[in-house]
Amino acid sequence: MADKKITALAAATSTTTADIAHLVTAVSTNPQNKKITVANFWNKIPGFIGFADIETKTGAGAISIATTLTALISEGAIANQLADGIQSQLKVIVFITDGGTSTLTPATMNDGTTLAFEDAGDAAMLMWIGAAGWAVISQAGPGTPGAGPTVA
Amino acid sequence: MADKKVTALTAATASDVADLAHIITDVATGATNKKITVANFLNKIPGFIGFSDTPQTVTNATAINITGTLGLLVTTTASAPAIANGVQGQIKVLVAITISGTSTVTPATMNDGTSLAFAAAADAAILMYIGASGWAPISIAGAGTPGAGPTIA
Repeated sequence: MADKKITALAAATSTTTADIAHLVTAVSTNPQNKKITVANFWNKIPGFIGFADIETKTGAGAISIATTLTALISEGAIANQLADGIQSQLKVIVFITDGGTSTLTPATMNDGTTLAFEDAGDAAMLMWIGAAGWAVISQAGPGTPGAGPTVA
Repeated sequence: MADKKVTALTAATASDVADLAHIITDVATGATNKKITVANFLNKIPGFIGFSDTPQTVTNATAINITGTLGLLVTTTASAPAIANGVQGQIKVLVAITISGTSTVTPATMNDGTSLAFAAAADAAILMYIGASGWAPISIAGAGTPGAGPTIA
């Protein structure tokens, strides 16, 4: 194949586990170009995972589905919304300042309609599970075990 | 551009969703060089996510590391292991394995709280570092009735 810039290549818009990426290993000692399957890349992450994006949402309105983490601040009782996501998308919401209950209403929610964040520290993790909508897969909050946002 | 080794390229220390990576698709049938945005690479992971780093066994008051994903809590006496500040969006998983004395995990900075008390084996928590507010428990779990798990104080 003639030399070609990466920007000139056809675009893949998703991957399969068998796809191959380019990796340089042993960087500090003996750098070597290697291929790695997407499966091995994701199945054996050598360190922790971090998300550089964060939305600080103050007051009522829609919460972003473009960021993983939303730090939620209320200034009175407020209503927040969450649009539909994409397959298996994870969304983390942490209520960091309690000025009144935040009632979050996803556009589509699995077995429920709202999450009420009532106390600072309430947190929830949601996963978009497809047509059934956002599923609450984790809740946490300060105080006794079982604390956290109320799912209704 | 003249040929250059990858190791000779300028280093990116973070990526943007619009950045491009090089990928080879259809490996078994008709291997094809393609570009893929970081967004598409991360938003459509084709398999599970796993962590190959060795879990840290946190015995008694040993400081919990912030370089690994998973910490396994073991106590022979009541203890208070510390955890330093993380980086934006970092996820840390803590699981109590053997508890003979409550393990009171005390983050250097914690969102709306000061500690998590792991009083029973199987108590577990997922923490996310949410920036200046510190470590936020985003999941707690434990054996027994729903709502079991470490107590946040």
